[in-house]
Amino acid sequence: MSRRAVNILLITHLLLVWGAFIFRVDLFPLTWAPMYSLREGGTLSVPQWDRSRELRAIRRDGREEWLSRADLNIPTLSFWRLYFERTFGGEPNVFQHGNEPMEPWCYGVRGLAPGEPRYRADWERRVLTSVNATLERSWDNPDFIVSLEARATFTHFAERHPERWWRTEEVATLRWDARWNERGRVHDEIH
Amino acid sequence: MTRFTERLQAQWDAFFFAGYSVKSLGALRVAIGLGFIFYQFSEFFALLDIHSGPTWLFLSRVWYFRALGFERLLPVVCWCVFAVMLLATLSMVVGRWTRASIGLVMATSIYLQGARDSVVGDTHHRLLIWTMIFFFLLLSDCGQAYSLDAVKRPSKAEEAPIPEWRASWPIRAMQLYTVSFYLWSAVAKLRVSGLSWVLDGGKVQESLLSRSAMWGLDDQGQALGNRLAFAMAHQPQLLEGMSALVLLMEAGFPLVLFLRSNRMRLLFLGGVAVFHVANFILLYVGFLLMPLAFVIFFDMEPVARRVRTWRIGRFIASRVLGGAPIARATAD
Repeated sequence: MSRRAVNILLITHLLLVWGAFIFRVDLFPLTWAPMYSLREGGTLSVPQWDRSRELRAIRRDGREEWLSRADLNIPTLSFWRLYFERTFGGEPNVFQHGNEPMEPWCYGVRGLAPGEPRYRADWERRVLTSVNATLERSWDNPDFIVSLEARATFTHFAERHPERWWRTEEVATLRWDARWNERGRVHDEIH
Repeated sequence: MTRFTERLQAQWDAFFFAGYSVKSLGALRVAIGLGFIFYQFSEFFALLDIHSGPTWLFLSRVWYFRALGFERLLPVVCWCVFAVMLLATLSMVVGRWTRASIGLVMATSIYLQGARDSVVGDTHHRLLIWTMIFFFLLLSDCGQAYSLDAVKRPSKAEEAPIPEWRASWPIRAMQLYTVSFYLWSAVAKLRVSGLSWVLDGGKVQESLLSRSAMWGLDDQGQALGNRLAFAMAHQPQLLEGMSALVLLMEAGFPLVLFLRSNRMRLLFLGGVAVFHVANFILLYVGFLLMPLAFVIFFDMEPVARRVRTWRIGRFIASRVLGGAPIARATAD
C-alpha cells in the first residue's frame, strides 16, 4: 500500500469507529463499548443458579416433559441465560443498552422519536419457537411444546441497603399463542 | 498549506509512521499469535461443551449471521472451525502463509463469536480489540520477519528494505484503537448511568451482589459462594473509591501512548491487568486474558532477540528455520 492509501485507510477507520461511538452503534466490529455501563437501580433481584433446574414443558397432547441443557444442546452459560433471564423476561445486554435514553442525534440518525425503544422482541414466542424447532416438533403435532415453565429462588436486595434482603420463589410460564402457528419457526428480525 | 495543517500533518506522521521496524512487526505477530492461542480456549471453550445431537435454532442472531442466513448452532461445524482456528493461529505464529493464516484466524473467530452470541442473544465485546489487531496485521508486512515465509522466499538483492513508516502504522493503529476502546467504555458508563455509576457503590455494588448471591445465601444472610465479592458489596464507600479509580484508569488509558519509558508503561498496563484479574475473580467478567493483547504497546523486537539467546530460541532458529536469517528485510 502506498502512503496515501494508508492515510485514507486510517482516516476512514477513525471516522467509522468514532462514528459508531458517537451514534451508539453496537454492531460487531463497531461498538461504543457499553459493557457494564447500566446501573439498573431499584431493588436488585438475583436468581439463584441451581444447575439441576430443568425447563418443565407441556406438550399439545397434555403430557409433561423436562428439558435440560443437554436436550437443547447449548453451552451451560447459554442455558443459564435462557432459563434465568429470557424465560423470566430478562432482555439481552444489547437490548438493555440500546433501549436506554440516548442523545437526540442518536434518535435522529435512526429516524426514531425521542425515547422510542430501538429493540423489541417477543421472547415468549422466540423461546418456544427455538425449543420446538431444535427438537424438530411442528406446531400441528401432538408433541409440540405449548408451554414452558421455569422456577427459581430469587434473592432481593433493597437499593443502597444490601443488608436488607429477602427471598421469593418465582415461576415464569411461557405459553404458545395459536396466532403464531402460521409463522412457523421464523423469528422476527430485531426492531 | 497553512502552518496549522502542516503541524497537524507532522504530528500525524510522527505518530503513525515512525518508531517500529519490520522486525518489531514480525515479533509482535508471534507474540499476538501465542497470546491468542490461550485466549481462544478461554473464549470459545463453551462451544466444545455441546454434543453432536440437536441443533439449536438461534434465539437472536448477530447481524452477520442474519445476513448470511445462519440459523442454527451446528456443533460439528463449531468444532471444525475451532480446529481450523487453532491451526491457523499456529501457522500465523510461525509465519507460514502468514496473510492467509491471519485472515483465517479472523474469519473463524468471528464465526465462533457469532455462534456463541446468537444462541440466546447476548453480545460480548471481548473479541473486538483482537479483531482490530488481526485486521491491521493482515494489512501489514508482519510476515516479512520472524517467519517461515521470509525464510522460504527467494531473496532478491535489489529489493528495497521495508521502510519504517510501513512497519509502524499498523502497530500505531492497533494502539490507538485499544486506547480508544478503554476511553469509550469510561464515557459509555457516564453516558448511560451518569454519576450514579459511581455513587453509593454504584454499578460495582450491583454487580458484586449479583455475582456473589447467584450461588445463594445462607440463613444468616452470608453468601454461599464468592464471599469476598459479597463482603465488598457491603462497603459502599470503598466501592465508590474503586469505581472512581476504574473510570480514571479507563479515561486515562490513552496516556499510555505518551509514556516514553517502558517501565512506566509496564507499570500502568500491569495495573490494568490486575484490574482485569480482579474483575474475573470477583465478578466473573471474561476480560481476564485481555492483557495478553497489551504486547502491542511494546517493541517486541528486543524481546525476540533475547528469546533467541535462550535454548528454545536457538533450537527454533537452527532446526525450524534451518539456521537461516530470521528476518530478510529490515528497516535498519
